[in-house]
Amino acid sequence: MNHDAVGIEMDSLPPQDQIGVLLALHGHRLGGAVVMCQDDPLRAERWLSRISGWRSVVYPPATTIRTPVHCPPEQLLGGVDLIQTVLCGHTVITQGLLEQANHGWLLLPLAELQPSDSVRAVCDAIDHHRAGEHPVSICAIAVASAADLSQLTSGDRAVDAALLDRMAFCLDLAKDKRDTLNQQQDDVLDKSITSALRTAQHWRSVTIDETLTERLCVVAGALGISAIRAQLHCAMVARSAAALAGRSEVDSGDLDVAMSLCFAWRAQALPAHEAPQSDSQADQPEPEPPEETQADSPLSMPHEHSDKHTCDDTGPADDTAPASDEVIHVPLPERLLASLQSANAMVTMGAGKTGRVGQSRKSNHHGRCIGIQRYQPGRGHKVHLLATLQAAAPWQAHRRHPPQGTPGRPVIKPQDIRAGRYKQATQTVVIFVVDASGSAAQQRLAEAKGAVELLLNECYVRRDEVALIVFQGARATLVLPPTRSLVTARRQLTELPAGGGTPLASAIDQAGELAAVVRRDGNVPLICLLTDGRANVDRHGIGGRARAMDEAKQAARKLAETPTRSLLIDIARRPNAGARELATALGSAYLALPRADAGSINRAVSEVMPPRAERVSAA
Amino acid sequence: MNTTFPFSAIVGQEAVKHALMISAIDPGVGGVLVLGDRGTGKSTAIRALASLLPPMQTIKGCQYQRAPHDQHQCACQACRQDTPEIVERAVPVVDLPLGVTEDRVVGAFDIEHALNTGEKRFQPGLLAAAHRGFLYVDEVNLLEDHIVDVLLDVAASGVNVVERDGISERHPAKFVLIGSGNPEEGELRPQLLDRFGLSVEVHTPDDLQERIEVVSRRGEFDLDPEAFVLRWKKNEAKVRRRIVSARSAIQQVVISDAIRATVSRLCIELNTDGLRGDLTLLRAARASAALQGSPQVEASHIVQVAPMALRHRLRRDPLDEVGSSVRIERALSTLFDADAA
Ligand SMILES: [Zn+2]
Repeated sequence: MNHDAVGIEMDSLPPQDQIGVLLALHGHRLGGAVVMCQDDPLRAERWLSRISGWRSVVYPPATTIRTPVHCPPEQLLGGVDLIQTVLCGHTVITQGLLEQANHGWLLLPLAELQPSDSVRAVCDAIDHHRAGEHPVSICAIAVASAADLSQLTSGDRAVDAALLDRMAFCLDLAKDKRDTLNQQQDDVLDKSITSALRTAQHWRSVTIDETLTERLCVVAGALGISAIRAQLHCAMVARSAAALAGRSEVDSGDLDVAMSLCFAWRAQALPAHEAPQSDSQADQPEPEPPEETQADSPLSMPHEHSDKHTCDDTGPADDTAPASDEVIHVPLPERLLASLQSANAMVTMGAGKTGRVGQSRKSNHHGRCIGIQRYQPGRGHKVHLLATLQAAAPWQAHRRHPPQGTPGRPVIKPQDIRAGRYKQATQTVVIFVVDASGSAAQQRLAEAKGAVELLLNECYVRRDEVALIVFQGARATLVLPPTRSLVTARRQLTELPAGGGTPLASAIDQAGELAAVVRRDGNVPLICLLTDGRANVDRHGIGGRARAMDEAKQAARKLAETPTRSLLIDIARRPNAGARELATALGSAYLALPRADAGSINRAVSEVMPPRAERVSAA
Repeated sequence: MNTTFPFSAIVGQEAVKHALMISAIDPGVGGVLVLGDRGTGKSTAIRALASLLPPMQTIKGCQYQRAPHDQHQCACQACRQDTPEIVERAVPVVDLPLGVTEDRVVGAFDIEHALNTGEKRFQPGLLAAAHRGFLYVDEVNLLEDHIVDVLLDVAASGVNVVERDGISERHPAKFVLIGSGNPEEGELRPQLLDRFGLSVEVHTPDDLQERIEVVSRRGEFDLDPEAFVLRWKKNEAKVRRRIVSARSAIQQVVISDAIRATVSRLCIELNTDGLRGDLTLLRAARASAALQGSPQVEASHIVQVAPMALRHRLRRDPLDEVGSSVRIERALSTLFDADAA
């Protein structure tokens, strides 16, 4: 430590220098400051360049990175630059602004306009000292155009509450009279501040008495400040104030300064009726008269920014279903059908009435890319860069002999260019899982096929896609991936040979996997399982009823965890307990084929599937 | 590398700590949903727990942190060696960053590799990185629906299947999903709620002594993390031992028919949606019994975990002002008083 260094008392400084010197000492531990400067954002710049100057006397120079006004999160976090990657022929990574601001300042102009995803990225950097996977250490300066605290916390100039929560300080530069000092005074002050910063290098060893910690917590409680973070900031600031003054122990004056800087602005942002008057509040200095902000602030922390996230919230909670027991104990189709819908709403969170089907989705503004097609100019196609590169990639080695174009860059030909297919409406994909084992064949495979045909007719009317999984022998096979071609489905089904064991677990596993893929593409899967429920082949293709049944039930329960509607059609000669238990484990509707004439199957499927009109409204 | 705040040094938050320990003992309980105000240290607890758990063995360089004796084949370079080297690594905690794309979550086509070699290759995503560990989603209520669905699907099945961009890939992705959220900033969809095994609430402590303790411990930690961690080393080891022995004891914990009956009566009484309430409650109680060194599940274990296993499964009556936890406590006391009588 420098022996010439002298400390400085915080009381002798105006608030903006108090905050400035604390941020210069270790702004990255304090989150940063929100700075109100109304119509003159340059005030914040000037203020920041002064404290940056102080800091650079003691520490390595710190950079100031300004974000754009509406800074997208990608720009903060960086990542692969696809255009440059194509042009250069190797992956080009751009450094995000957070990483660029490492060990320095991140200035957010018009902080109230920053998108909430970007705000969250900044908060994440402050909380966890990282930007994506890169370690960063930043101090954020959020410049707000709000004129006072009530505007800062509610209304159209409000800054995201999550960001305010991270900031130790709030500074009103429009009101702070620091600018009136003359140059000479400034130079003197700068000297003593930098000297104090040298003195404060021992801040880690500054102790704080337990009674002072208690006082801090009492005052926070009395002011209605529940956030632990504000209290931690306050303790840290008290310590730093002591260190800057050259003390090795926090005294009550240091704590008062800390509380006025960290608590006062939060307390004033609280509604008037919630800010209780207490003894501890009375003896702490207020940097600004409170009356100008308290009267007209109706709310404490605003949550406006979250409104857009809640817009696709589901309907009222009472849409949820009664218990599932009804499903199993009701044998008659009509009553079964009545309970089907509700039972399914219970087990199939993603697709029920309370689910996303039929709702406008927030991510829908560009539609969802569901596939790739060859680019054709003049058809409104949108180029899909990734798919284009992918199409070109296998040819690169070939096209480089003889060398064409610029060495090191991929050679992309017109036929490589791909466009995305974007989807507007949600599509239902009916996954038929048909038991073609020996036991099923002897029973009623033919009738099962007939049932599927009926359902296929239904699918045709609904323009659903269908997929077919067949299980027999050692395993289940995806015979037909999701398709619109119902003719193919019908032919596959008719030609289906029968025989062999019943690997039910594999079949359910595979149906579940396919359902997940369907869902991931933004579609709604519906599993229609036709079986007698008599599993006798396990997942490894080994025979044995007990183990096979156990595994089947286990697979069923696992599938029931996912938001997949399902229907089990029991194709045993007589409805049997095994199939019914399986339906319970699946959380699926159960229909015994003997009682199922064409009409009741149709109705069962109609009940499980959402009506057409509801499904397309997402377009 | 940032030093993690010790799990045992976390003040209060008993329910969160208990739920996280249960999920570490029996991941099959399902994920944990932590609901609470901003700034209550939700992410601290999960990071703290993960760094307390004993390291896991894996194949050196494996992209999927495969366990050395996992019978599932792994296609990665490291695993294809004849004698792959076995190393120890910390249990992963993977954060889902904000605005994350689906590609990043499930994995995607590796462009760089394709450009350089002309080969298609799969680049594993965050689900792969979270295998055998924890996947933490802050503000899960603000995440896009389709990403949430992917997470919940994979968390339930333990397998990530990617079929797109000409890539066909499946790899194990067994992780405990930890979601946190502030209900004031967006209600959770009910259908999302009950796919979490356990749900707990955190609040900023009302109790002054507790707040003082939080502020002084955090303060100490911030000043000198290494020294702080060293001071808590013994307590951490104690918690670790409890979890490790609970993991090995859990299979032997007996659940009597009487307890099963009590649990189903409780669920009927509360009219919880679905069977998952019953099953989760029993599993959580079993893990809790194992944690407390009990050879069987007792009524006390049910009482301990019933709120966290059931509170998010109760149907909400908009006119009913009584909170879920209160309803559960009432039902519990009715049930056990009746048994005692
Ligand atoms: Zn591997």
